[in-house]
Amino acid sequence: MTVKPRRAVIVWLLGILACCAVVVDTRFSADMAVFLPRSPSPTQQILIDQMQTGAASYLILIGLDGAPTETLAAVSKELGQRLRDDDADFVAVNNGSAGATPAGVERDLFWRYRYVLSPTVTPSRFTVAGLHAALETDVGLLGSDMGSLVKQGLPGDPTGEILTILGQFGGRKQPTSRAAVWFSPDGVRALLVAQTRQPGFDIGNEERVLGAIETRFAAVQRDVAGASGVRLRFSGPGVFAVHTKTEMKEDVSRLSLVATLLVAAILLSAYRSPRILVLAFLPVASGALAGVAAVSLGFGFVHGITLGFGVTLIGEAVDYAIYLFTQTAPGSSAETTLPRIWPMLRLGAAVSICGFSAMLFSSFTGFAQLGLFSITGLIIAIAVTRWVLPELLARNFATPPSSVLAPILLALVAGVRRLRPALAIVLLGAVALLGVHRGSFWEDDLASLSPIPTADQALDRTLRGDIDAPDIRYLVIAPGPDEQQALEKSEDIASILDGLESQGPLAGYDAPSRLLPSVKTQQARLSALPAPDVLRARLDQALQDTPFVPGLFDPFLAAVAAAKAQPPLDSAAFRGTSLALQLNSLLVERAGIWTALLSLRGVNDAAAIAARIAKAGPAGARFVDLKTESNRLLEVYRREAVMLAVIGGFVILALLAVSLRSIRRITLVVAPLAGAVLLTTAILTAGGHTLSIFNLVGLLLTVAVGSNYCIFFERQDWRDTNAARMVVSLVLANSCTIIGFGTLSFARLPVLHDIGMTVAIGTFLSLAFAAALTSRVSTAGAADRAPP
Amino acid sequence: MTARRVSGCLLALVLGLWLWSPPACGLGAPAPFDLTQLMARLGTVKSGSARFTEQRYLHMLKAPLEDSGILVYEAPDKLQKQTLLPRPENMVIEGDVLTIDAEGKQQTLSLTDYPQLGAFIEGIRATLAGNRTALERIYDTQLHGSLDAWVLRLSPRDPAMQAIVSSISISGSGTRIGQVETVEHDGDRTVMTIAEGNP
Repeated sequence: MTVKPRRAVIVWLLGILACCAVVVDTRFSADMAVFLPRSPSPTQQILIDQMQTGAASYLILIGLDGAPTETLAAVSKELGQRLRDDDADFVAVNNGSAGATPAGVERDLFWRYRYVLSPTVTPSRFTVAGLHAALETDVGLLGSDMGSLVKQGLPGDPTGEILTILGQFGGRKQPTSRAAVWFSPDGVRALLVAQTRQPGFDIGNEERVLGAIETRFAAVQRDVAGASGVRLRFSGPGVFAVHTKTEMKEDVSRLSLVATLLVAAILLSAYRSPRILVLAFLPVASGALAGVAAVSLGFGFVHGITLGFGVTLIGEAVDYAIYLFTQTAPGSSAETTLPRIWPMLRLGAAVSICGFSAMLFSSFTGFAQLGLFSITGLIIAIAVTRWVLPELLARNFATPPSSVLAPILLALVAGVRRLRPALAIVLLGAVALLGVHRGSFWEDDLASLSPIPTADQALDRTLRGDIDAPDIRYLVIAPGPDEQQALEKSEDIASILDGLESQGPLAGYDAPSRLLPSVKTQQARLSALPAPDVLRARLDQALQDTPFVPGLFDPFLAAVAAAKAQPPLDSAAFRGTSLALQLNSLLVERAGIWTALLSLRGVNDAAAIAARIAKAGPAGARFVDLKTESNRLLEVYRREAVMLAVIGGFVILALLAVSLRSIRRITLVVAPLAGAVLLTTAILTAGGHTLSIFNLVGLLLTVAVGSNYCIFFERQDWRDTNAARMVVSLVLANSCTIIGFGTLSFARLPVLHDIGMTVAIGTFLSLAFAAALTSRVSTAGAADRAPP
Repeated sequence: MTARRVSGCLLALVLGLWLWSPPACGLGAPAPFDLTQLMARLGTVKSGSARFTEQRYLHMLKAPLEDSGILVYEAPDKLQKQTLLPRPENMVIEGDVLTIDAEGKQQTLSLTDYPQLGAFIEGIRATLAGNRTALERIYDTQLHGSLDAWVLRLSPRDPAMQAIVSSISISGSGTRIGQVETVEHDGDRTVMTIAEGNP
């Protein structure tokens, strides 16, 4: 009131301009990582990093189906070859065919560093007896069909170190092979695995790479006979990121449009005036603009999901204008209506803001953005309604009474009151339903938080199963202050695991120290190699009684001498090879801490391994079960969400207590909300469904938004002639809110879908319970008092 | 160990397999002897099995290495070489796919991934089908002797193939192949002697 009218409009216009200036420069992001919480512990941070940027994030799994085996095999070979030719995008493309065997780079690296990489380089191997045994083995190999394979390397490597090294990396089970390329076990799908140069979270690049695969596939389809029916499908973290971004874009634009059109249709049918329609959207639009600007300033970027959440603002903030318009009867003016409804508007908005502000403290960056966006949006929307709208309305503005709608709605409200016993029974039923709910109420799978569409998740599981790449579940991790200490710990753990491997608790493992032994180990191996003249003497002796021609192994003597003179192998040597990726995922540096990760395969007895590592492992070494760990992580997130919901609830309660100052009145506002939350929970969990964290946040927002209706109902003087207008405005407002959140429940992203559905159900029930509990109208009286 | 080396090795093995073929029954009256006639005879063989002995003369070794086992052929396209001594090893070619089992490990390869090897196989298939034109597209051929004692010498025409295998000499009597000698580019030789009669 103290704000001068004209000044309000000018301030508003300037504000809009400022917001536009901010929004123009805003960076929009589709990175789903912000909807994974910031992690509470360094270990868990490593796990989340593994999920997001680990070796797997560079992989694209490709499935081909829809044609006979031979056709699929031909397409797989051709596609594989064409992708391999694309050096800029792919490090490797594997489909089981021979053309895909690792390029010379990796083999050359192994060959050059064979004496520091091979664990069989020990002093005893280079004694006369050791050398003689190796030569005997060589004779056996030469006489076999594999003879020609080893023939070339033999003079430089009679002890077969290269075979030991390759055996360590090639020990994994290969996928099923048909017509010499990888196939799913049932033979329905041909499989390829492409490793990209850039990580999958680089969405722009990933989109381009996926486009390139599709283009090449289309070309192959034209070139291979009968391939027109072949279907190409891919999966992988990068693919998910791209799909999620696309879905998010589609969802956000489609749902915003639908919600806007629906709300506009309702408003048009209620007010029959395009001018009012525009005015009603003014607070919403100003609020949304300010919200985006605030998030942009506060976080440095705006997430696509935050924009999607703007849909709810349409339903929520349009309420204020509806209250103002509908409750302004002919003969009064907006300026006289406002003082009457302002206390309720103010309290309602304050409660909503309290609810949303709980989200500000969430460790999900995404939630915090939603909170800030909604709070700013609501404050601006209500301010515009309060100070700007009246200025823009004509002096004699009034909405024509809704002669059709009002009596019906009043009758309905009165009817609801008579339904009290029925509602009580429904509530009891809800309590009973919750009581008999089997199992946990909470969704236990971290995947439930995942923005990845369920169809994509299912495809990924299928392809992974086909390729026989089980999810990494068990790890042993060991942190160290530097690279060398982490590698030394990796070697200690590896030797423990080697001991266990023969006893059966696990089938195998990958360790960073296999690729990059610590300098200590490298030096130990080199010192196991005899000096050149010693080695020559021993070799000559070992060669007696063997069929080898003299002088054959001179390259071996030279190679040992060269190995001893060569500087140690370091991580730089791996640059540009597919091994670099493997090394980077097994040896992680974060904030000055180096962590070695050993991933275990074929674990039969996790407890035995954990016990052995705890007893004999190096300092800080830990056995990690990713499943347990991810459940624990989910538990932490859930506790946080519950805590935020409870705190938010208490703040709302305190606010109501301060404003209403009467136990009876507080009860009248809180009781319908409690009933709505209870029944919503029962509906959501009916049939054994579980609640996600997003549902929980939705319940908090139900309280924040639904309380508005309860406050209006509670405050209403039912003898007032405005009662009918109030009821109409509340029902209109509630419909718009349900439309806003309801459209959101059609989103494919779990975060939007879960929140939308929960709030749509919850706010409707809030209105219904509030009407049942607090309305005093009688049907007879309503007809009389309703505006003509 | 480049792909070329691998295909060189496989090539030698595969040639040995394909060029060996079990005896056919019910030979008719002798006819004038030439390559066309020999190939037509070889093409009548549908299946069978026999023992083999191999001598490998390698430049790395002072003395040859020996191994032995069983060869099996099943029309239309399955060939198996099962080595029993000195250590068990099993190699199967079926259609386009080659599988090697040795020391508990299995390896599968596609012949089409090795174009030179594929060309050799194509030549062999041409031989078995009695298609002299196709055979001579890949090899220079020389046939000596009579139907009762013949020697067929094959030299690859493609220089890329010559870099792997220099020549293959097959000697036999009627449809029975007695010996296959493969000479590799580096001078290493493998002589496979196929025993008469079934194992």
